[in-house]
Amino acid sequence: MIRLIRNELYKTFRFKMVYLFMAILAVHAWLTVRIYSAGGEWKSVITMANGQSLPLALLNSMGQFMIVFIPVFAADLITSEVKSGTVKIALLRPVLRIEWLNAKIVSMFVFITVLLGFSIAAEYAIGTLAFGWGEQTHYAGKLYSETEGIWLTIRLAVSMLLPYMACGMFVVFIALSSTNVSATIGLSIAILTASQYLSEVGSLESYSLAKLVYFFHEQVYQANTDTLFQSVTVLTGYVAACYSVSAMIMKKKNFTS
Amino acid sequence: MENKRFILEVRELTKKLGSRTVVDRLNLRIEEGEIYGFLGKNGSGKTTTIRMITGLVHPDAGEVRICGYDLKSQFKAAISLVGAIVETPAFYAQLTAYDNLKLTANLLPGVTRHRVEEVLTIAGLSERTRDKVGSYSLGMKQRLGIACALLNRPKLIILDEPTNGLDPQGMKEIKELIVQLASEHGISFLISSHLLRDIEQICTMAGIIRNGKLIAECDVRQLRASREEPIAIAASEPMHAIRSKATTLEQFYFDMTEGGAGND
Repeated sequence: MIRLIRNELYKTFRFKMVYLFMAILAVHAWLTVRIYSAGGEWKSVITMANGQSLPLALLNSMGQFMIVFIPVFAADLITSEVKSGTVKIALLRPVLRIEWLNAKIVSMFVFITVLLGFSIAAEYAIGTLAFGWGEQTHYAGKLYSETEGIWLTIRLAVSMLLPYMACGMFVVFIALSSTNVSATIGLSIAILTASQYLSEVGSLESYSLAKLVYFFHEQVYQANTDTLFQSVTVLTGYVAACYSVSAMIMKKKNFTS
Repeated sequence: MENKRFILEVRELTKKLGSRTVVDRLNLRIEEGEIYGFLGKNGSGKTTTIRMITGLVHPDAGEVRICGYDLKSQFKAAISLVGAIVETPAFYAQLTAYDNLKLTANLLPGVTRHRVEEVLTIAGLSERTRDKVGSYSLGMKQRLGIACALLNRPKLIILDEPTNGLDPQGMKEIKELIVQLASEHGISFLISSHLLRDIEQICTMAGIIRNGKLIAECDVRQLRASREEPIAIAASEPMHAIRSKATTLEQFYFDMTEGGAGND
């Protein structure tokens, strides 16, 4: 299992996709800073121009990128391998199907963690280069000391692993069910985007995966126990349900390409 | 007969796709060191059978045993003894041949870097190990597939249409490699093909599949040795146990498929 995971990580970091996504996140941070510096404060998410506040200011927008990056990554990770036949490299060896699936999920987790970590580090660097490090961290209308600000940034960023993984697991399920890469990407993005509109139906609002991907960190920040408990339960439910269904699909799947 | 060691035993293997029975109660046994040619026209059920033997497709009924290990309940032990190319060999085009094999080697306990280099040499790819697989011809990919299949020192190698898309020189080299591996390393082979002459040249046994049923088997060595004598036929069902006066595998094949045996 460890060797299988090592293979997956080797492929993830050997191929260019992850670096392309990193570049997009860095360019986005740089453009945000440039627009603000060019006098566009009124249309910028930056509320306090300093390096230590930038990652928190951009945490919202990262969800919008992840809702695209995760399906593209999963399509390459799973659907493309099944379609091209490279899945046979593992499955014709002493590897159980469930181990293969688990290795893919670990790879997805590492991918999300690396992108999240990179975006925070890049935003700290870009913000500091553009505005300087600053005296205090500004978030949601409040000021925090340097240490508190870094801790808050880490806490909120790490909390986003749960909604991103729930999104990842949902897309893994789509990727295993789908027969081609375009369908995996298109269907995943379409369903995730459409799930935003669950908020129009009041009772279903808290089940919207897209909404949780965008705003879960704000719930963590506000620390309203009831809301947070409900969201964690919903996200954990997504992870567990999608994993169970994916494992079942994988167990029964006939590989014919 | 019963004392013989069977590397592969397939019993009553069945697969249905919708209402169509793609593989129908198929029985097959391969002895140690045997090169078994699995013949049948396109769509006869060869690849589906191979997919079931390698665990890629779940059978609806029947069992597969590799060196006595049940593929379903002892998958890891069974598949550890197999090297296989199912349809076209698939590799990561962006990686070199060496890196592709290293990824496979990582999944096989005890397979060292030295072994990776060794199988690349056996397959005649030692000069191109650092080239990306994307730049390989189909023949080279087939060779790389065989190198990959050899990594774990298998007891059984399964090749699905191994000479497909190869030029005459490539076909000759692959056939020589198979014969060499069987004689020098004692590896058994299951080779599916519709190229009768290729199978006749290299195989020791041949089985004919038609509409998912194994309709006849023939000892190719015997066929080659006694061109003028009628050959013994073992068929999967008594109703097909007819005798053929074939002196070539091609003749035998058409006797079986067009001469009445196996006709539904």
